[in-house]
Amino acid sequence: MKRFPVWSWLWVIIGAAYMFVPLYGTLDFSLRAKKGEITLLAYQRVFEDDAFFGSMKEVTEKDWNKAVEPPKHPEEVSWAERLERVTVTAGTFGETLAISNGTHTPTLTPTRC
Amino acid sequence: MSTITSSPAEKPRFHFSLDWLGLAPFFLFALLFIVLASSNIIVRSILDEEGNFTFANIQGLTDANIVDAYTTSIQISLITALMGGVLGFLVAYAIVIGGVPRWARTVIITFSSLTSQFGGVTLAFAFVATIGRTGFITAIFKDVFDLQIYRMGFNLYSVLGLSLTYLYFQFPLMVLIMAPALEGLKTEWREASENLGANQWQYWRHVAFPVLLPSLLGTMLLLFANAFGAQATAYALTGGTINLVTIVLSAQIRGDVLRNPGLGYSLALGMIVIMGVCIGGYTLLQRQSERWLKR
Repeated sequence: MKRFPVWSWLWVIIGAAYMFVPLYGTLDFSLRAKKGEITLLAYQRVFEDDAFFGSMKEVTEKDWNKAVEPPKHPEEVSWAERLERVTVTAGTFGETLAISNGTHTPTLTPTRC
Repeated sequence: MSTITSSPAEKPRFHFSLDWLGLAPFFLFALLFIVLASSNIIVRSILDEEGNFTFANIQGLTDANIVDAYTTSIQISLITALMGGVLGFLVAYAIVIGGVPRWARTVIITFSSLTSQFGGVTLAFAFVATIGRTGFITAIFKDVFDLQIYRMGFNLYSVLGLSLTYLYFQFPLMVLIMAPALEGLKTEWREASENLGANQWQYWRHVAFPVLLPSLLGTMLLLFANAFGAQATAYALTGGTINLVTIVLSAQIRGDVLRNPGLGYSLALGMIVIMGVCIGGYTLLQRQSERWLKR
């Protein structure tokens, strides 16, 4: 009888998990626009935002810089870190989108967690 | 009596095949975006802003900040090439000769093709959502195991965090390249070694591993070059907080404060040299591997 390839399955599972977990993390994050609720609100906001469809037509260098430009305050913080802080501070993915398309700028609290 | 007459050796006549026309777009692309672009970088790295010849830009590469940028880039590239290489090889081994069902292999190969091209802001965001301070894995560690990984010293916006993020596109590339190499291992070699009394370990130590070694090393060089040239993911994840060559380069060419295009071009020249060595090494090793696997 053929033996069950335990080690092979272990590496396949580790590899597959490394590929799928961050994708699931993104999905999970996108469904938590409201605190304590699983909702499609973030997607709704994206589709309601004219800038989203505008960006589908043409992403200019200016748009890109607006979205990922590091902040000007002395403590240099990455775009991703800002995004996370905004999420922690504001608690909604909508606020994050508002920053990324430059329509609204909530107060950032540049404190290291 | 018959005589054997030999016709004078005819020179092979040059015959232009129209098949070459199919390759014309490739050669045009290579000429414009590899040859001309590299030549432009080389020339501009030895010119100042007024167009005069100077070695100042090349000398600028010895600046402590630039040396640090190269060191960090090489460090991250080495870490991800080794980690990606080992994990990718083990996954490739598992799906090709490890005895897992065919469907698992198809799934892994398909997703490897996708994830090996994943990068930039999307990848940075995926890792923030997963192992950022509010990521769901961070939350699981905290809620289930009572482990606060950020208080224990882990930081996604560090060299380790960036390496873990790069690993996402590094190891699938290793899987894609190593899977055909592993398929090239002939069953006759295993049978022959078994007939000669070798066990599994001896077969791998003396037959399979030496045959695969050029492929392994070559692909790791490719992974090194892949990580060394990455910019968007690092910039999106860490901004300018990690001193990488690609980030310093873009700051020198496009920045407001550190603007020195000449130094930027010499940084690019340094990168071309390192990438050239890697790609050259990969090509040589791959050729060696193919020669053995075709026998």
